[in-house]
Parts: sequence; structure tokens; C-alpha cells
Amino acid sequence: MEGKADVYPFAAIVGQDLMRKGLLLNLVNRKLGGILIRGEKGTAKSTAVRALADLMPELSVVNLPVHATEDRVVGTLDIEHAIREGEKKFEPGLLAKAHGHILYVDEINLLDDAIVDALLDAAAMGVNTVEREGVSYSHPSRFILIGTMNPEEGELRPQLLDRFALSVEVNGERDVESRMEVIRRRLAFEADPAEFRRRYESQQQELRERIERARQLIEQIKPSEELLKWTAAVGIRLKVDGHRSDIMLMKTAMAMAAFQGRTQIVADDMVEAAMMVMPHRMRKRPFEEGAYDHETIRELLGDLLSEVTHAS
Amino acid sequence: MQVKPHLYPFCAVVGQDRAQKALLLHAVNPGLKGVLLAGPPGTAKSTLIHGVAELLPELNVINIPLNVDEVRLWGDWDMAAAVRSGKRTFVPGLLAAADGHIVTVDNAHIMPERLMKAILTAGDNVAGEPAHGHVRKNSERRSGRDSAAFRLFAAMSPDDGRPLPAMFDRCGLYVRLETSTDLAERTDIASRLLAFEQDPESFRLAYESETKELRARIAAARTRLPAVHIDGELLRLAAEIAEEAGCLGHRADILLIEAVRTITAWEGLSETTQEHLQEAAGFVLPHRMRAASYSEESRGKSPADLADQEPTKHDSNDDHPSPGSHRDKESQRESQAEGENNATNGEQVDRSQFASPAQLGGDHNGEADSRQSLSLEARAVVEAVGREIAVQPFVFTPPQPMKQAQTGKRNQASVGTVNGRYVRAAMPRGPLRDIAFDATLRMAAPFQRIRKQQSSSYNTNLKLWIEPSDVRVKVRENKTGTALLFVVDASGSMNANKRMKAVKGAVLSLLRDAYRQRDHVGLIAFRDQQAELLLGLTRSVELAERKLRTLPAGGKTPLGIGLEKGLIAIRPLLNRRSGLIPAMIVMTDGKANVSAEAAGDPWQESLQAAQRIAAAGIRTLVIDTEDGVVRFGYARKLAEAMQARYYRLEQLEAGSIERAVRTLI
Repeated sequence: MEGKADVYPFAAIVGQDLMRKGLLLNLVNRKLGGILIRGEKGTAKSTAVRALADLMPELSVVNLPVHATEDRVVGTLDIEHAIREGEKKFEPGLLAKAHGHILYVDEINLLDDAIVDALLDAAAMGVNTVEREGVSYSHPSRFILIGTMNPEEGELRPQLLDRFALSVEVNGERDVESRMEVIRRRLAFEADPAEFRRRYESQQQELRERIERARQLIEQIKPSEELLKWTAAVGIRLKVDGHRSDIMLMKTAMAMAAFQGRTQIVADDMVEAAMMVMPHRMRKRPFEEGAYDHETIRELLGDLLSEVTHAS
Repeated sequence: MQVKPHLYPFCAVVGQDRAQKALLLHAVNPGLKGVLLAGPPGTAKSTLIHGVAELLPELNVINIPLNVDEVRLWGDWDMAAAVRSGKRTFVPGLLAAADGHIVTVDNAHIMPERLMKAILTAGDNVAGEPAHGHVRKNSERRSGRDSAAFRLFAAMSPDDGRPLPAMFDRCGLYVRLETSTDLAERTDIASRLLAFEQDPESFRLAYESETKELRARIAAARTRLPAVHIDGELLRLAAEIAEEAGCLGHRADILLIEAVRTITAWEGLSETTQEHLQEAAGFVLPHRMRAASYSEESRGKSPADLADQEPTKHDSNDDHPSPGSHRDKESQRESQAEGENNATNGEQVDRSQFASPAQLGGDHNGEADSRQSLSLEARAVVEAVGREIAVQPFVFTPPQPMKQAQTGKRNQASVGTVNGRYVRAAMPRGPLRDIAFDATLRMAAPFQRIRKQQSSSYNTNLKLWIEPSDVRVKVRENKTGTALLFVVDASGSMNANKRMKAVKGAVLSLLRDAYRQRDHVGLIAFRDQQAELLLGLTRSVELAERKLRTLPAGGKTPLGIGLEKGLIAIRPLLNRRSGLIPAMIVMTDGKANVSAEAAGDPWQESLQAAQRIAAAGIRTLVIDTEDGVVRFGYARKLAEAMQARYYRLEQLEAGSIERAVRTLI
């Protein structure tokens, strides 16, 4: 874990259970489809993302800054090489760097449209194709997409929203005790990062092992026909666009079960998964009256689940 | 380096039969020109257009990404060769290499307009070379791309942006993909996707025999195609159908014939039936009809007239969804159901009038009778297709002489900003920023030998020596957003007449559109003694919506103060290169009764504010909320003073209100 010594350990994060869980699920299945973290500033979003990569030594975080240019993101002509050698060479961009790693976009809702489009284009086939500046190049570009945003500053385009498997809301800790604990740990970390990290190393290791186990368990999970039917029923009932949510729902439930050390998916996995997979897909028309709140969704999901399981 | 992703097998896609069919027809007959798949995200559009290519290993697939620039599209200099030999050698671009092959565009609706146009015109319009300096001058370099005829497979999400009308014309066939609502089908989709993700290789293996069968069927249909017989009657019918559908030009007729022939060959037959014709019409017509009829109606009329006419047009056509309705998902689904009903009804009613296949073959004598019945047939075919379509009937004409340079443009090219897409290079003007290195190197390359020979001061360690005259800068294209500022009358008169509800409804419908267009919105409400900026210009339409819902109403009407506040809020956008087109939408009954000055005349004050707004060149729209039997028409006078477009609230039903605002910008 050298070189990451200044990273706050994941295991030391206080509260924000949903966000932590969502992040970890993306490690259990790296093809899950990423996570969108919605919430106000100062809720340890960036800390958590960095900590996540720190947990897995082979993972790195590629940061896509909100002011990044298209050239920087998709890649461009290697100028130095051209001048020195008189030849064209492709200089990979962030999409290449992020392949197999985490692509982290803070304030993703403020990204330039051209950059969002580049992300969407790469996401369409998992390949980034570059045809510009005299360069013709393509490379695989699959990454764990993690975005954060403050919804007060504008929404994400539905097309991009749909690319995120999960979305979670984070809020500042309300509980005074927890808040104090946040500060206490932060101060301890800042005073002596190395010592702080040592203190959490065994917990970190446990977490790592738990993820590793889950990655093996997930291979053995075979979702039943009726659970698949349920995911389809949820998609139909909640009127989401497209079929992407169904499979993301299933994969999330599988990751949940595996993370709990099971090879059987239980009803709770499904409902919990749906609470992370569905809400942001129903934001497409945020203006409709009677938009679902979380409680309604939860009830509806429960009803559907018993419907489907009883029917078959 | 090119990478091939693991492709989900074409034949394993569930529930998108029509899209699959349209693509397969192209595998048989390149004359169909292309397919446009329109649908929400997650309906397998990309999977299908990339998947079909796999069935055609003899063809190249050229995927054009959104990041493409003009140079790559059209071709460029071989820089390395130029450095070596000092000669200009041309390397053909993507479009030249596409000749006879397949071009795919995944997000066609957000491709920069200029580049999309280039792609659309490349295939069938060789004379339509882009005005791209050095490409044009050197005719020898063009030899590679004199007939870039290719099949274009494009996918788009209609809710995410606005496609170019030319795209609808370029693609021969059109298929709208829908989210499946069938439980069994959807379960199947999910379980297959899951199986594919878990083990792509064995999944592909499982579908190999089916894939082989498809290939064989394509080959058989190809062989059969030349023999598919098209007689004069069918030609006439195709022409009549195109005429009946209001399609301009002859492309629809030709495509209809080609599609019928291909469908026939695909079905393993050599004689065409009426079902084939109906099926072909379902692919060829939907994206042509609406565009054509709309442009006819709009010819020579101002957008305001059009909006005025909207309700009548809707009445006369009430079998069909209104043109704006595709924006609303719900009504779209309804309209589609309606279209399907039409289809069944049409067949039931008109089957008797339909010529039998034998008649289509020309085996009968009643020439005059047949002509008449052919027209009925044409109508029946067109009706059955329905008018559900996604062409955006917007008219971008400035309502008044504008003081700003770019009127009516959603895409703006600019030099010196680093935002937006790099679309081409240009000579620098002013300070050097955002250098286009590729173009600069291209300019410098051919002179390297001469420069090195002529001057001893050149650094011989470098392969390239660049002179200031070589330098080019990037021209970037930015989608121009709109800043819509709503100035809403929240006084008591609005409340008393229950007008506030209607106003809120109208603004909400506009916000919905703004949401899709990535516009900025702001909200000012005026009531009692003051105007309040409830929301500065922001991209969060959700926030605007929330503010609007909780907007209280009551009290007097400080109209002038409200307008003045609006002017102040919008003014900074007028001169700044914000990339935003500002527009103000005033919703009031115009009955001003509070003035800013103690002894002022509220109405005169309002008129003066209105004139100042007009003088500033702000695009404005006044929506008159006056109600009741006796009307004073203040809002109309206000609109005149403001040089604003004027509508009464009643005129603006959902759909037309959005269009009214769009005509502003």
C-alpha cells in the first residue's frame, strides 16, 4: 500500500452506510455499472472514492475534472512525438487511463456537454474510438464510473443517468455523536496518517477479504426465473425507459447477496438493490405530480415481489 | 489500432423484430441507404447496429465517434510522408473508406451539426464537397472518395436532443424502438443479457448456428433480389403512396419499391404481396410524412400563424396525435397504440378495395377501375402507417430583426474558447490560443526539407520545424443553450380567476422542454409591491419547478417593476459570450396598478419598461392571461411596445407552447 499512505482508510469512514455499500458492491462486481452519489458538499464523497481505490491495491482513481477538454478525455495527437519524430502518434486520454480502473467525476452534472457525449459514446460499446486530429485509434474503455453531484445545481441528462447502475443520496450526519466521531477520526488521521492507517489495517484487511469472498461467491449465484421476472415487473411497473435497469437490478441483488456471504438471493437483497437502482431512473420526468417517494417505492416493490413469487 | 468489442449476437436480441428486420434488409440490399433507430436508452440500439455488421464479414464497418473532426471525415495529409519526401500525399478520410461499406453512428442526435451534415451528404452528393480549403483545391487527392456510397446505420434518443431533419431523409428506413412492457419478453431479455455477461464466449457459441442460418438467408435473399419482379402497377402504387403521404421528391417512391423488393426476396418469394407493401411503407414513410406535410404548411407563413393554427390542425386530424405529442412519453405510447388501431381498422375497412396480389401483377383489364382503387389503396397504406413520428417541427426564424449576430442557431462555432468540440482548424486571428497542432503540423510538414536546406539556424535534432505562418487554431462548436427567464404575474387578479393554475401549467410544460434542451431557466414573480427574483438563471430546472409550485399569488400588480427586474436579470447575457441565447417570457394580464414611483402612472411605466426591453434586443414572448367576457387587451399593447410575440394563454396548449418559445430563439 505504498504510495497511498495519505489516503483515509475506507474502514474508518463513519456513517453514510448506503454510499459505502454502493461503492463496495462495485468492487464485488466490477462490471456492475458504477454509482452516482447525490448530495451536498462536504459529505466525504471524494474521501470515500479515494478510499475505495486504496482498498484494492490494483485499482486506481482517474479523476475527470469538470473543466477537462474533449481532447484530454478522449485522447489526442502526441505533439512532442510529432515534432521529434515527424510521425503521428496517439496520446491516450483519460478514457484510456481509466480502463480497468475507477473514473471519478466530481460534479458530473456540471460537465460540458461534449464531455458527457464522449462518455456516452465510449459507454455504448465499451470502446473509445478516436477519429480526430489526423489520428485514428480505438481502445477498450471499461471503467467503474463514479460521479458525484449536487442536485441543486442542475440535473444529469437521462441518457447519462441511465448509465449508472446505482445512485445514492448522501446527507451530512445529523446525529451529534456521529458528527463528533467524524471529527475525532479526521483529526487523528491528520495528526498521524501512518499511525491512523495502521490502526485500521486489520479492519481494512477484513473488508478486503470479504470482497474477495463475495467475488467468488457471486460466480455461484444463479438467479431464479422468478427473480428475473420480478426485475422485469419492477421495470414495467415503475415505467423506466429501456431494459438496462432490469439487468442492473439483478446484478446488484447478486452482489448484495454475495457481499452478505450468501449464494442465495433473498427478498431483502432485491428490495435493497431496487432502492439503489430504480430511483434515479424515474427522475426522467421530474415535473409529474405524485412522483414516487422512497417509501412508496419500497411498498410497491414488496407487493410486486409477493405477487410474482406467489404466481409461480 | 482498432479494437473489436465483445459483441452481443444480433440474433439473440429479443423483442426488437422490426429493427432487426430493417437491418437485415440492408444486408440484402445496399440500395436502402440506411436505418435510423430511434428509442430511449437501453433498448439495444447500439447492440443491433453493431451486431448486424457481424453478419456481413465481407463489409467494413466504420464507426464514426462523436469526437470526429472534419479532417478525419474527409481525409488529410500524410504528415510523415511529407516530412520524408517533402511531397503532399493524401490519406483518404473515413468517408472515402466507407464507400460500399457500412457507417455507424451511435448517438446521431448529438453529433455536431456540421459534421452530421457532412456525413449525410457524403454518400449521394459528390458535388457537395465541404468548403474545406485544401481538400477542394487539390482535385487529385479526391479521387479516392468520388462515390462514397455507404449504408448508414444510426441510433438516436429522441428525448435527449434534436436530430437534423436531413438525417430522416438520408436513412431509407426508420424504426422506433420501445421499452418492452411484456413480462415474459422482458424476463427473457434480462436472463440472456446476464448469461452473456457471465460468459460471452459460450453465449456466442450457443447462437452460432442461428447466426449461420441468418447469413445463409441473407445470401439466398441477395441472389433472389434481382429476380423480384416489379411491374407498372406497383410502381404507380408506390408513387401514389408517396404522394398521399406528402413526401417531397422521389426518394420515398424509390425506397418504397426497393424495400418491397427486398422484403419479398427476404421472404423467399419472387412475387410481391400487399402485406409486403404495407410492411415496406411502415419502414419508409413514418419519418418522411410529418416532415413533408409540415414544411408545406409552414411555407410562407410565420411561426406565429402556425401556432395560431395549431388547434385547428389538430381538430382536422384528430385521428392522429398532434405533432408536439412525441415529446410526452405517455401520449406517445397512446399515439402508438392509436397508430396500431389505425392499422387494423385500415386493413379491415379497405381490404375489399385492395387489389389482390394477382391484380398487382397486372392480370386484369379494368384499367380505369384499378386506378381509382389504387388511390384508395395508397390512402389505406398511408393511414395504416399512421403519423406517429419524431421529426421536430420547429421553425427557426427570428421573429424580429435581431441585434445579435447568431439568431436562430443552436450550434455555434467559435474560436478561442476551449469548450465544445474541435470541429476544424482555421487561421489564427488575434492572440494565439487553443492551437490546432494537427493542422499546424500538416501545414508545416511539406516545407521541412526546404527549410532545412535553406537555413543553417534550424535545429537539426528536430524532425519538424514550425514557422508562425504554419500555425492554425481550433474552431470549436458549442451547443448553444437558451436562457429562458420567466417573468410571471402573481397578483390577485391571477389568483381570483384561477389563472395561476393555468400559468403554472404552461410554465411547467416549458420547463419540461428546457430540461431536455439543457437550457438555463430563471424565474421572476411580481405581486403586490415588488418583483422578486425567485431563481437566478440556472440549469436546475427542478429547482425552478419547485419554486414555481410554491409560488404564492395575491395583491396588486407591479408590472413595470417586474419587467424592469427581468431586464436587469437578463442584460448581462446580452453582451457576454455566454454561449446562451437569452429570451424573456412574460405572463400577465397587463393590468398594472402599482408603480415604482410614488406618483407614477403604473401603465405608462410598464410601457416604458417594455420599450427598453425591445430596445435592448431581447427576444420576448408575452402570454396574455386575461380572462372573462370583457377584455381590455392591455397585454397585447404591452407586447406591441416590447416588440414581443403575443399569445393568449388559451392558444397555448401543451406542445404548441413549447414551439412558440422555440420560435423565439
